[in-house]
Amino acid sequence: MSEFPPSQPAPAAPPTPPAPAFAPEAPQPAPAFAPEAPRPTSAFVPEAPQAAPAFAAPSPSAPVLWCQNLTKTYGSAVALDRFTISVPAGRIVGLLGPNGSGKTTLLKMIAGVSHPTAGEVRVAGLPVGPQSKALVSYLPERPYFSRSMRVREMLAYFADFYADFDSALAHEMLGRLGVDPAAACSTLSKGTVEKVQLTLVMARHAALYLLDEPIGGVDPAARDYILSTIIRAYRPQSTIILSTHLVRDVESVLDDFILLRYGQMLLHAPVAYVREKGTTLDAFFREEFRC
Amino acid sequence: MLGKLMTYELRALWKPAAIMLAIMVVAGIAGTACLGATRAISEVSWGAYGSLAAPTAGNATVVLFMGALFCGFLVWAAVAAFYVFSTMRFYRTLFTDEGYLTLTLPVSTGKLVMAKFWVSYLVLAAFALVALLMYTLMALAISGGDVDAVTGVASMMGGWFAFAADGDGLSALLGYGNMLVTCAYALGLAYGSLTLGAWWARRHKVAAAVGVYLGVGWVLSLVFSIAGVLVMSGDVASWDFTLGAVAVVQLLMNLAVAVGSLALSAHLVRTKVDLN
Repeated sequence: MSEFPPSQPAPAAPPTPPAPAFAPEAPQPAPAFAPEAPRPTSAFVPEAPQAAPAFAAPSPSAPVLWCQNLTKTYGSAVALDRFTISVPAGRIVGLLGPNGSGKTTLLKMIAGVSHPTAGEVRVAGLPVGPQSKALVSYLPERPYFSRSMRVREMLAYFADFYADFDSALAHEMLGRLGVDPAAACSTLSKGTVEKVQLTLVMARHAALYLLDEPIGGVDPAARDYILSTIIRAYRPQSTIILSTHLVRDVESVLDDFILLRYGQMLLHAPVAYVREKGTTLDAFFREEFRC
Repeated sequence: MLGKLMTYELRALWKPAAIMLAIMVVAGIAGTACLGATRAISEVSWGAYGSLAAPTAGNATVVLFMGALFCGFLVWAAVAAFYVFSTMRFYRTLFTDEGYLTLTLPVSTGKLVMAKFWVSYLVLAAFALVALLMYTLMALAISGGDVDAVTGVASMMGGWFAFAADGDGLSALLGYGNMLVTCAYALGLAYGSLTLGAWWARRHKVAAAVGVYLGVGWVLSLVFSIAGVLVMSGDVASWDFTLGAVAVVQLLMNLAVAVGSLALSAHLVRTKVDLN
């Protein structure tokens, strides 16, 4: 495992990220929906989170996501091996790796639908549980609707259970994506289901978004809208962990990336790191994982 | 949050519940009519011929009686169908793809499990009472309105209580109580079994759950059957008292299985069960 930069000092939990060790990325283009503040320019924050009791409120000084030696095994197979990371607020992090590298397993453990064999996960200083789930908006790679429900019923469901769900924003997104809220889930195509699920997830004002293959099945036009507007612009203060194989498509919206192989983290670095090498993230990925 | 969860459970269950309830009521009334007609024909044929051997009346009696049996089966099947539907909904919403929606809600697993249990239990208990009412109507029809049929049918639900009491009001009350506890036992054990299946089995999780459910149920039934038979064949001062004691122990055991299964289910969902 190599985390970048290797010599990054690790001060004890400052309230704001330290000065970036790398040349900061170019300022973000003005988003279409007027972000409240620009994204932080550094991905690297202290490794030690604020310890939090099980039922404490989220700690503003703790990293949004902190994993320590997170391990998941299925019998003798190791899906994730001693994964350690700390991610501050306001970063869009690409989770990249070949099939079976542990990307989905990692997201599932952070979301609380899978349980670590060893290690620990904290979200804003909170262990995984009802409080952390209130802060996490998770888009799994598979459809989770009951086919008997309609889209508007799903919106009502989210509005009922998530205090941070923005119904007006969800309707606006669905309108832009051409989805009829009155449609029954059983009649939606695979791509439309993905659009609806992404809308539900991104219409929340969550601290941490976990997006597992969010654009795999949608058409290119919708893909552009999703990446440039929904993911890039709607949530400037939130952290987004985005797992995908479509590296070329997401490269422009990423601040940092994590490379995983066989459940181990190979690299955690800003996208600027590969740009300084005169290459693209997509080319870097293909070279790293050449078969 | 528990209230919201229960509201959504009720919304998901009311349609199948309404359909099953309609089937129960229609089948119960039809069965009552069949048995009433059977009795009427018997009385007429006895009056006219002094014998049940009259061919037409005999055939009609058989057909009507078979129809009543089928209606009685339908009443039971409607309760069973709702039970299977509600337990499979529990499995589907927690351990299949729908679990990604359910288990990421900012709610404790205890509340998730209890919301599902309470809604299903209340509907199932109501169904059981309606089924008992239908069987009581049938019993009244075939007995020609004998009010003892009311307590007789109820006391049959009492398990060992039925042997301990004498078919009076107390016996009927114990029958109702035992039936309500049995509903909780059946649902709780099903939830616990399905959760164990989802955790243990790599494949055929539902089949594994059915195996656990049948295995636990069989062992408990066997233990209490042996206990009851031993009591009845032994030299005891009071059968009623001793069989009553066995019945009480079985009732408490069923309650404990229900509560323990629900607690186990919530614990495993929180700490062990992984979604595929």
